Amino acid sequence: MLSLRILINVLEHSSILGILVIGMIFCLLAGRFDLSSESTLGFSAIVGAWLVSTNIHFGSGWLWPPVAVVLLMLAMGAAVGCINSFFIIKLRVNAFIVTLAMLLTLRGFTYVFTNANTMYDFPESFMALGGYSISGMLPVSVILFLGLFLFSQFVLSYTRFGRDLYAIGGNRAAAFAAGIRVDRQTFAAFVISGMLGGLAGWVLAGRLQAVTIGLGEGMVFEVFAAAVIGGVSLSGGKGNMMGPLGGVLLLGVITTGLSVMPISSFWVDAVRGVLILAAVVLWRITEIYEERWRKSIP
Amino acid sequence: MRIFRIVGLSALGCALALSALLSGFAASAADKYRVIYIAPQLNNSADIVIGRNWQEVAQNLGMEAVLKNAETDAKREADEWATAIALGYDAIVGGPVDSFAATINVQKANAAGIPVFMLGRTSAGGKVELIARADNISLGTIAAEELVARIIEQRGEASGKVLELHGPMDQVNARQRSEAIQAVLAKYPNIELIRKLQHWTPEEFFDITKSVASSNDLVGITMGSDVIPGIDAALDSIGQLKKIGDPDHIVLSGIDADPRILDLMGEGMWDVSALQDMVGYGTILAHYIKDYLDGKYKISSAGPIDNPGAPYHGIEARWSEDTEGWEIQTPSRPVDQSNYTDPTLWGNAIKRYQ
Amino acid sequence: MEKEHTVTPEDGEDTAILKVRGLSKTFDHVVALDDVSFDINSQEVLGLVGDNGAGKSTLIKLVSGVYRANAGKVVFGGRQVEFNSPRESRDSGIEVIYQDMALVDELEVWENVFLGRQLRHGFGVIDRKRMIEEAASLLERLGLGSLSPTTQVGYLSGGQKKGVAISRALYWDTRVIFMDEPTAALAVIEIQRVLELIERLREKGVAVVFVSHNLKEILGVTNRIIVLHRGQLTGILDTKETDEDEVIRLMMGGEN
Repeated sequence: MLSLRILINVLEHSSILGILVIGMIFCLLAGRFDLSSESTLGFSAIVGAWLVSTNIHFGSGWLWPPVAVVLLMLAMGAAVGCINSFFIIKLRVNAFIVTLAMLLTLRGFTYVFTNANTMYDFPESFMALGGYSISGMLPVSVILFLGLFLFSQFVLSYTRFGRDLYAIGGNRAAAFAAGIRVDRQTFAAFVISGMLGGLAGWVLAGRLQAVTIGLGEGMVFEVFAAAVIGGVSLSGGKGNMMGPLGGVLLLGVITTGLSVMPISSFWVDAVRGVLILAAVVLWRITEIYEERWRKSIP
Repeated sequence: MRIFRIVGLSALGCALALSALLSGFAASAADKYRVIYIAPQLNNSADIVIGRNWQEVAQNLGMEAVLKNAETDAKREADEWATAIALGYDAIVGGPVDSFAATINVQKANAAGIPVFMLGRTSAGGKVELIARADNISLGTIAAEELVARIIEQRGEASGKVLELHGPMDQVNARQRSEAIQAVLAKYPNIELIRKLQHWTPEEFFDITKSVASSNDLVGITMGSDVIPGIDAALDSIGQLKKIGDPDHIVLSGIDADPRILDLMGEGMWDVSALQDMVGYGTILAHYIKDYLDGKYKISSAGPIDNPGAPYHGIEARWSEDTEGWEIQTPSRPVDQSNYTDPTLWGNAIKRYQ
Repeated sequence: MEKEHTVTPEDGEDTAILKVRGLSKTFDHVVALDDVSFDINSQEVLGLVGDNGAGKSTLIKLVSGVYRANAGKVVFGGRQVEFNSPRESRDSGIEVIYQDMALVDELEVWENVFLGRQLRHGFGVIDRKRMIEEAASLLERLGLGSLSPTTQVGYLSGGQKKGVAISRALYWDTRVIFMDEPTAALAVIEIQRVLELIERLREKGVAVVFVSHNLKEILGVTNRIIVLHRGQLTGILDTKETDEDEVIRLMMGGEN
């Protein structure tokens, strides 16, 4: 019973990271990356909370219906993806710089919006995704995040969009010459990443039942770590969803494990770093063996 | 297939990690009380001394005391609370990153029947057995009164521009201290108060101090907490860090009395700080938790606590304005040239933890 | 299933599948291609030679829709065409096999064959099974039966990769294939393989434009040769009636 509860905790804690990782993988497969999703999360949570909460609780006092607000949060995420990809695809600015700038900009906006106040006391339905558990045990966010992983894997394996991303990340020139709409598909990857950032913001707002500045700050490192542990190539064209799901869960186990263990909290970050490194190395070793094995086949 | 290998690998990792961790935890669970303090951060001397002192005292009282770090991250904090609740600690001690975001954590612990205590700061709601913290109003009042006294001493009158670096107003501590400072300074109409919001980062302390000091003739600076460095460096960078006694010296009056500040007092650079007695209230809380779990003592009414022999005997208990539960506040006192070497100050006591 | 097609001449003696007329392209102030006109006949292998910078790749990119021409026109299958992207030219039946081969190393053989044009079930779900089967039978017909369609392309040899690229071109209703240096960086035995494949394509009624620096290969496999020099057409030769010296002379600009 204890271990089941801990396991569900691991899944619940991983759900936010997992949703962001999915978006990042779409971008990574196309040979790009999106640093801004953690800020998209924070920004969407702030704006959403602002619209649904009363002005006593530092909100707008407009009390918009939660359904409209959630749609707006997703649309805002999509808009962030559009802006990112406009600069990256149309103006050919480096993705690192563009999404880093977006990361900082959105984080700055969260301060502007809130004056660094915490917003809370949301309508029940606004907290549905992050806060509810089925029969008090299985959080809705866990089902959502596992479902999203499965669905994304399906998209990658069995749709043109998914296969095109592999081709674009593997050999952009080849993909273009083969008639793949490289720009359009890359654009779609960034839009998906942005929308998932918005979705993650909603889930986290519901889970904490309050929104503060700095939500999601620093998560981008864990997002990359989960993707790399899961065998996604940072240079594009290689990887899938199931590996990074393993990466997300492994990070969840490490983090929860470190909080379960009575080890000094001063050691936690160092130990976590070493464990992440070990996981990446382990992955790389299996990959080297796989390459050898494949080459040995005529 | 690659997919199966990946899933297999990670499943194996998960299983191994979980079983190892659980067995480790189970082995440590003996007949002792298990208590945990989830600190908001452990990146500055004040939070370190609060956490380590509480842990040390709790362990000396025969409890198994665990110290965890939320790293200034509300999500991380929620995760730590959820884990602690699942593990069924006998008591959880919090000191939230964010008062409002922490409320749900407290409510979940309440639902699980785990008593909750708060150290230094508190959640905005939920049922909390006891909050032990400094008296913020006393801190702010002393900081402001000492500031004015020294300005008068140096310049002969209470006039000029004073910078106040205050924290976000949704943090109870930041708000109460700032309000107390403003209340004192309001009595001196010739003092012009320049208030600047910051979020407890050294960069902000440095940048704000530098920009305000270089465009205004300041006579004094005060702040919600002197644990954060940056002010003296900023003044130094524009040539305005002068020794006490120099006619251009800007009076520096802090809150908390960080070890760095004690050193600056030794160098004659810093005037005064209102002491936050973190060693004191951490010790009190550890004792109270032990007595509470043993069933020996539980606060039942407002007024001075009557439990002779306990270190909290005689301290005024009151019903909290923030949470459902009791609260005690330890009063402040000024630290300056006359007493900065006192070994009972937390800024000197912390040397044990380094 | 690959489609066999016969080309009916539009009028009596016109067997040209692709006609290039007065094609010009300028980048900034550099003239890359200047008023070039020629025909490509179906069932012929046309050599395209010229020194580096002569305009060969510009010509290919103009015809296949990567670049837009400043002047001139392209007539394909009797209709004037103007392609805005490689996708459009491919869909019409013009395929380019680039020197860097335009294959994705990370993907498997079958997927490279169907790159950008996957076969699908309903609801946009791709039909892996059918594509793997089709790729296998395609490879078989090209004499590449030993290649498994599920091998990752990155693990193939240079010659095998050419085979994949050519079979891809063949699968679709392709009528003109441009091959940019298809034999570069290949072992001798693999060059032979590629030349055989070109011959087979011609037999199937496909027009092949063969671009190479190796004049021996050009003279050995082509029917006609067109020569470019600094963006200008300096000669259209019948392979049977020419020799290496003449081709080289034209490549140098036609002087001496």
